[in-house]
Amino acid sequence: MSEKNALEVRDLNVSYKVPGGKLRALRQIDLIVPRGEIVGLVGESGCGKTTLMQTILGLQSSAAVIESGQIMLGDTDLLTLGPKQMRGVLGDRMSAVFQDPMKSLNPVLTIGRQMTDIQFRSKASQREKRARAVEMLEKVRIPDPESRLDRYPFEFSGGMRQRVAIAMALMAEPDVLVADEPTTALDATLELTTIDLLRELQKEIGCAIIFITHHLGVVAELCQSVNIMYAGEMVESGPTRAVFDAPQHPYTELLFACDPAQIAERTRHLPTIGGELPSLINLPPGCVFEGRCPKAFAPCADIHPRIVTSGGSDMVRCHLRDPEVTK
Amino acid sequence: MTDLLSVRDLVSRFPVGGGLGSLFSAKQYIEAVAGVSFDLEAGQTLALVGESGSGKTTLARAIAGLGEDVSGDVTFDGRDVLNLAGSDRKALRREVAMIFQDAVSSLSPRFTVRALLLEPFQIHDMMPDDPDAEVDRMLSLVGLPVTMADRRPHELSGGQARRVGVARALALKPKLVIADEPTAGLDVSVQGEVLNLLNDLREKLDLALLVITHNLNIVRHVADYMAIMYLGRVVEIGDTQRIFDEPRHPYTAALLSANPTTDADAAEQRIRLEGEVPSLLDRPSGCEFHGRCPFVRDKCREVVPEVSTTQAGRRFTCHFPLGPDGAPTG
Repeated sequence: MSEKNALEVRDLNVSYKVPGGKLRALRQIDLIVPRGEIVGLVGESGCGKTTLMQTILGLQSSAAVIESGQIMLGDTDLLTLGPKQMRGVLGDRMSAVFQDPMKSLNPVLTIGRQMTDIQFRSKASQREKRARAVEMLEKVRIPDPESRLDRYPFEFSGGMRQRVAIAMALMAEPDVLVADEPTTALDATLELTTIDLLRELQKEIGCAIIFITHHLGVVAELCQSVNIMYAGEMVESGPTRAVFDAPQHPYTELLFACDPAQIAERTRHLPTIGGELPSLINLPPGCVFEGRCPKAFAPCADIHPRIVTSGGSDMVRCHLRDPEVTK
Repeated sequence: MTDLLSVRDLVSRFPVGGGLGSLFSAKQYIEAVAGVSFDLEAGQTLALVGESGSGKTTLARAIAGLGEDVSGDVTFDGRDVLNLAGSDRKALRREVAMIFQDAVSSLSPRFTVRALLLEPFQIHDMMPDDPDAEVDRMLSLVGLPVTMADRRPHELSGGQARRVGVARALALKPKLVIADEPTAGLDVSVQGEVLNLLNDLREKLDLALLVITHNLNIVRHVADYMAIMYLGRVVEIGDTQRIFDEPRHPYTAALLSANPTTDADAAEQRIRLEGEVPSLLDRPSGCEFHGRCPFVRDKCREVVPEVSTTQAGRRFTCHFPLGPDGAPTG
């Protein structure tokens, strides 16, 4: 594994056992998270981003079967670790922030108790741990942190709770932070301050962040690179600017076009992507996007496209961009 | 044209406190909606915009006759909504329909789509002669295949459930539809579908639409007028395009710019708001926005601003409204 990458997912295949067969939720997923960078992961419901996030954190459901692949954190393949070793990694080298901070904080314990509990690995005294908690709350700009420590989660506003969750996740200065839609439940003004805060803390701590979202504007402002998933596959990855300026995969292009924020002219009729997701139990033989793709041509229905480099994108899985496919 | 809906000085309040303290002190109230006025014509769309806790949903509930402890005037189609007798109130529910935020959980999981679509008729004792034909008609109205009638909510995608919610709302041919966050939780590719549907139906059925949202990107495309709410009051209201082009209230300008965007220039010119929304129990003095306003002056902290109305019908409450260059005037 390259020294400059904090995390690398290689050729990951995950499926779920369901009545009637195997639901192939993730297929041939590659994801590169360079050290100290913020990497966006974008996709619509059912694209597999949650399964990917859970597998990286070792939190996948018991119905999930990891068929093959590697998740490299430094020199360690997380998929070879037992539950106990995985616990040693989580909260130390890797941590997470989830969508709903109310669900990730314990409602019957004070914030201070939770912030000192989470430092269970440290040999520091109770007082030092408390001081560290205050310092972290200051970093996430919670006013009057000393007295806030003795308060319960319900006494904080939604935006503050999410900042507390971020403070807790970054307390151990992990190599990788997985942020699963951390701003989706927040108002626009709060979303913005939370993004600013994440960016600052990331610079200070130097950790890498996997930022999962469906908000394209957030990706554009926050992430150095972006990965787009569709129906369990990675369809396009590349530097954010390049991908936004000239999307190479037709799905990426349509997804960007649908975002009302991207439409400069006021219109009464918003673009949509017609059709439905393919079944992940009986996968189509060709490209997964073929049924909804306006640019589909001869090979798309039968042949699964391979990964190629195209335009400014590092990878795209589309026959249109494959120089060896005759158009 | 006369207005279908006319709201004047609407106040909706909730009691707070309780426990032992309330035995000794007077009951305290918070005004979640604190004096809101606006009009809405048939065939038009008004968007209510604001952060969480700004009173959007409380306002909508009061208009639909679902509020408690509401004062002021709400006139709908010539009727006084806040003082209706029982039977008139039921009639009002036929004419003012609501589409709820969480489409899937607003549908009973044990009902089929057919039963869900016929439920409004049942409640109002208006069962059509040919229920099956009516179900088919409603499904095709919202662009769902008629084979959907036998499905149950868990077999529907988010967008489909939303469409069933829309069909249910339109079942009794209402004149006003209130849509509370109609696209929250939907993927962008489906968002457009639901908004296009609402818009087409508005045109076809001459509906008045009241859309509650905090997604400003969609407001620009769907709403004729928009009202920006802060702490239960409307701080600016007017033509949507004009407000987007030239916001007068600094809060409006901040909200409009607080939109993560792919446009690097917009990100640079952003107005950043300081602090959090104040508590309704302890409303700030003077202009209630002064604690977060980037252009605050002494007057703002002491004097409550009056409502200003421009020739184009725009209303805003600010001592030093923004000019065309985005800087405060006066």
